[in-house]
Amino acid sequence: MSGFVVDSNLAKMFILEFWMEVVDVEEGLEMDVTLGEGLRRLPVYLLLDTSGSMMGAPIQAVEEGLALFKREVEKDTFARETVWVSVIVFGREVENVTQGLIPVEKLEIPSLEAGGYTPLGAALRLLLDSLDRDVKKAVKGGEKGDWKPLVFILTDGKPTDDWKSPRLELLNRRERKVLNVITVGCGPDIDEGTLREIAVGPSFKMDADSASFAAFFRWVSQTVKAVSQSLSQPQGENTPAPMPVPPDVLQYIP
Amino acid sequence: MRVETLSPFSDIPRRIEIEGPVFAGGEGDVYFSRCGEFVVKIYHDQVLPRDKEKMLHRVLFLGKNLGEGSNLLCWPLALVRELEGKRKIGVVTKKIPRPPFRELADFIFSPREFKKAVENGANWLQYLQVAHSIAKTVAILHGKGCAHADLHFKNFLVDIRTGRSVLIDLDGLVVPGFLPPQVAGMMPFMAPEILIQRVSPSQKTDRHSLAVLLFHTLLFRNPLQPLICYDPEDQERDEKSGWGEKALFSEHPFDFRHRPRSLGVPLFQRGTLSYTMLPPTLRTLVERSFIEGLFMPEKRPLSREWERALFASFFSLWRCARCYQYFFYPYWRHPGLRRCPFCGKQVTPPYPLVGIVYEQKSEEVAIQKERVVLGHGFQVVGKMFHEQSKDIFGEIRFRDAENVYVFQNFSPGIVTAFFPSSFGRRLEEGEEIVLAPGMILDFGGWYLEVVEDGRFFP
Repeated sequence: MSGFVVDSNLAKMFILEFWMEVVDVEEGLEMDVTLGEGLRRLPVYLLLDTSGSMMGAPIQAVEEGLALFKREVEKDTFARETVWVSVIVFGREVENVTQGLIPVEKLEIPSLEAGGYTPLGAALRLLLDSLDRDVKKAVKGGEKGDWKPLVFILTDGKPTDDWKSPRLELLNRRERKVLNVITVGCGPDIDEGTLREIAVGPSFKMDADSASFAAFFRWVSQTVKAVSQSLSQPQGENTPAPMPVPPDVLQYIP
Repeated sequence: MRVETLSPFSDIPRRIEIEGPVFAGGEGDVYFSRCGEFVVKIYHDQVLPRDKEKMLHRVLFLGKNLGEGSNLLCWPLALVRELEGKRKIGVVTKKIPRPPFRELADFIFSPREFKKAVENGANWLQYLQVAHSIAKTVAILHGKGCAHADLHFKNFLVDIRTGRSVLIDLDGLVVPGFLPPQVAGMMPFMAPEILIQRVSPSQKTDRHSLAVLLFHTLLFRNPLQPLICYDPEDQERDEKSGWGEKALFSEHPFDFRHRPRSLGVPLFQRGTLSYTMLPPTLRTLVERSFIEGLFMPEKRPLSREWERALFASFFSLWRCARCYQYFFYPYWRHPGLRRCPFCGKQVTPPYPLVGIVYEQKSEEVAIQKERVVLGHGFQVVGKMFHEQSKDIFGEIRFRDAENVYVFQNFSPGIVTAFFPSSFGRRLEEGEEIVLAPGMILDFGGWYLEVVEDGRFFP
């Protein structure tokens, strides 16, 4: 009589309004499931400033902000399944912390160290590399490719190296284009004009306290969630991404 | 904040204190009432169609006698007239408690969500209950002459532990000649003709959305998911043609463009569920929706047909001995190929009984209905024959020693057993009778014919 399951009353559920039974799944049964095929990924790049001026409270706030971002995005089913993240830091070292794109649930919060200048240009170069390497290209009759990436740049100062030529390259790409580069400056040392110039899309400024950072990362995750959802609606794409209203701490730079 | 409401058909307080907004959408802002009972949606003035208030009045009027639908539909209860003394337009609805209710997408978006639910004690049976409840909801809506126009997996709130569902966002209802179409929907759930010719939403497009939604609920994937790229230049055009003019059923018998690679592999072994795990009635409906009716709206099955087929399908469930998931016992396959679609374990003996239900239409005519799958301890209930019936006729038992199934009669003077050698006998109360292929049990207007008895497979 092996393998015989005594089912007391399947029919009972039609007589009783509520019918519930909890059975533990057999131990050793591995449930290995895949994500559905044909779903496009939404690459999200976070370029974070770790220059010397971020030392102390700001850099900690950024770390906490990343954790918040991860939590918030994981809460949403759509975003959890579609968003792939890459974190690039620029300061003493310029590094792609995540080594390319990873699913948001695999994102481990790096411990960031502040120091050095603000080499935004080098960071943009890394972004370009990652775009070429990690973002899937659409092939007619073949693979569908990824959604157009979202790029957020957070900085507290002026770039100290040549950022104009990598940005121009970013703009002039023919395939795997970026449509949204959102810049946010924090603290008193920012140059609004430069921020405005770097951005493709809106740019903002805010204070450098921890509440502002939390609000910023919450807003980033809301934007990511909103974009990941709007993609399945007609009239989504080539128009700029629909953005939730930024919190009061973020000031729009006209 | 305080809103003034107007409720012609229900007793909602005239003034409601609200908090929020808890959610800011494209159409308007959503608030919760301070008492925790209501949700209030205030529309943005600038995106409002001119006669929105008139339309909302009609929606309110349609919700007067909901009957059994009142638990399935979160119908608008009142209009908002003023917000903080300012003239605003909005609606008031009941607040659905979350948890236990969550968006349907959180359970069905991909097999990963299913796995998570199973780990929390849910079973595929509850997904079937949810699917039935969704079909019933849409059938009630269509029975009123309305179309929802925006059916997708974020508009259904589901309590997976009890298998209940509630439809929300009813403020965009469509009634031909009565309420004009207002919304377009979410692309993976939209009928192809909307994307191709901009046909306005109606019951026919709703039927497509419903079929996609039910498929998604039972098999955790979109039946039309495009797998190849049609326009590498423009992603929006690509999506639009993939769901629109190039739309194709993933399991089309001749066209394999959108066929998932792991189709038919058990779900828990990195596989994809195939619609061939559904019983024949449901399979026919799937084929009518996505093969014949994909570009021919009039061929799509009605919501009522889905509801009946799903209800009947409850009686062909069997339970896996390994992963404990319920699944449709695949009596349409060779016994050696009968496997659990989730973990892949072969069904082991003793195999269940399989019977056919007949309904007597006149003296000479009895029509064949669905098949039922019965195992040890299963009750033979009136629900197998008729949805409203509450009778219990008897129980099926398996006799270990003799390796046979018996029927134990509970209802004296109703059940007659006909043996293959063509004589019949009325069963006494408590009498047990051994079942064999070819036997027919007569329940007064309804018949149950035994086809397989666990040893014999026709």
